[in-house]
Amino acid sequence: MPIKQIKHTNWLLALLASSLMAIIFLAVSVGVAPLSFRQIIAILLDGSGFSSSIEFSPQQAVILLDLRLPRVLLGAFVGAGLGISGAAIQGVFRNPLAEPSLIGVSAGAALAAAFVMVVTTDLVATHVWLLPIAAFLGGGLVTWLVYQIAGRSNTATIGTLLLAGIAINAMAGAGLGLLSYLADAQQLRSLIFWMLGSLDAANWSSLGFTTLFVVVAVYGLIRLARPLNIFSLGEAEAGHLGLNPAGLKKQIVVLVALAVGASVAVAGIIGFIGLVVPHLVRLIAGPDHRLLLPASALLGAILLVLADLAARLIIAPAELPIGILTALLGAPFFLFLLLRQRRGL
Amino acid sequence: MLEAKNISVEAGSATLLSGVSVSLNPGEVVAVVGPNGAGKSTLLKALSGEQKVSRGEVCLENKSLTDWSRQALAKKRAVLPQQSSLEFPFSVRDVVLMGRSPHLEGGAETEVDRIIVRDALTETEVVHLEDRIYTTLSGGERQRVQLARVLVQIWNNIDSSYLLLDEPVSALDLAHQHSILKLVQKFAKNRVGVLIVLHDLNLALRYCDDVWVLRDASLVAAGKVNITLTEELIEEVFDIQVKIFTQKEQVGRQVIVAG
Repeated sequence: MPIKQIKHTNWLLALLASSLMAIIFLAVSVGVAPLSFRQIIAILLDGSGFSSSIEFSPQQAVILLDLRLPRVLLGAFVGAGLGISGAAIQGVFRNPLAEPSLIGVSAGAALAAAFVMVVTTDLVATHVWLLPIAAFLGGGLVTWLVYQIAGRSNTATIGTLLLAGIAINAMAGAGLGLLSYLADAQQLRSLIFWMLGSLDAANWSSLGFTTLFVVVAVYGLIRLARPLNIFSLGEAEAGHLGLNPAGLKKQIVVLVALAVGASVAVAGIIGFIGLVVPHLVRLIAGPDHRLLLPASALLGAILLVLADLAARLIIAPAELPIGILTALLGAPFFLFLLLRQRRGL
Repeated sequence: MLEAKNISVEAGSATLLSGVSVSLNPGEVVAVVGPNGAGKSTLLKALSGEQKVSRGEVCLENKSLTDWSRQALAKKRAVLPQQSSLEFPFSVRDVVLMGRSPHLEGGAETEVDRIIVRDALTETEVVHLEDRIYTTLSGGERQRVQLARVLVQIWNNIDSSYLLLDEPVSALDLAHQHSILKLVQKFAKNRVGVLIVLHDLNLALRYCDDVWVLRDASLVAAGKVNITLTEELIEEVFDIQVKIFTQKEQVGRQVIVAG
């Protein structure tokens, strides 16, 4: 990549990062009980031991620190994880239509997490790590399985990929159905809400493990940017250029499962972020994974925080499950891409 | 020397290659010819290390391919597959630059790499397309870009190196078929051993030193191209009647005509 383009790259990342900060501020201030910019600063300063002259009520402090801030930050990390996972999954399948929820990775993670939720309810309450780890294993297993089915030949078509996704989504759907049949009324309620996707359950402990999982995944995936570029030439071609394709695939599967597993465990299935985000980034900045991966993480965070804000506001004081919102916006986008790709063939 | 020692390749119950022994030396251009499904691509894949052999052994510079590290091998030999699928909108320049990756050791490319990429694009006559998006190119343009990508991989090698090309001119027009094969010939003079899977026997006669003839997974003939490719052999292997004419104007130039 020419030097000129690298400068351009840093500008884009800086722009996305500052937009994310601004949108996080916006999202914590807007809501049923609005908080002013000055009040937010004052509460944050107060929380870290500095007092200021700006007045705020204790309720406002609770709303910001216990409800909005963890929720918005969780949205940012979930969005970052889903955005970068989409870009990495598309890279490893060498297909711009792959997406964690379309090919069944999210459903696999959800099934594993739901199984743990229903079967070991008491343990989950005390062991916050149990859910994300189960989701990680479920998501990883599905990614590996889909790759075995669709990724074998050098000419893996989007058809095979999506059909494999349909089959796995159907299996996971049956499993989730069975689990909701077995669940008691209380479990059923939380199960359904969680399956639709929501950041409502955000708290500092769920934010903690999500942050850890997502940061590891983002860091690991960005390190694989250059190999992913070469991998887009083809699996055999990458091998001839000195890369170990099998090793790269394994690393991507594990890292994607980490990010998707963590986000499914805390927020349920939020589809299409991983599809839409890398597409938008490629439109603006091209396909180079050295830029695509970090930019997808940032844009994913921005879009999910905005989507969650919309989910909170549209039917306030009630709220819409965010997964419904992203599917409503993302599915038509997917159809549009499918039509465009068909015309191109 | 790149050498196959009595190699066989089996996939399930099918035998794709059976007891083939061949060797490719730096400085020579060898054509692999044979009917569809004879095992040409399989032989090329076995020689590149992409395809594991069921029996026998492939050696590069007297060392088994399995003992070479991926990185060392990537600096020593470049491979052009029959088809390449690239779905992402990389520029032509970036695609060819990827061919330099074995030499970058994970670092960024230097001015030298960029010059090599430009030179290769010039040689394969696609330099005017360097800013174009690869996925918008025609089949023949893509093939020349892919060839440039493969050439930069061994561009400035001081040691002997190897080029394995699977039908590199299948999508090219007449003029480009000849200019590309001339380019490949030029490479061979520079201590590069070149293996080309070809369908056009006249191109093999014109540009290659040796020929390996495959049929039904076996090597049926190998040797100097103008001696090996006889009317009888072609009829037997390809099941079609041919006549070989020797041109009067250009001494020794032969032309194969089918029918």
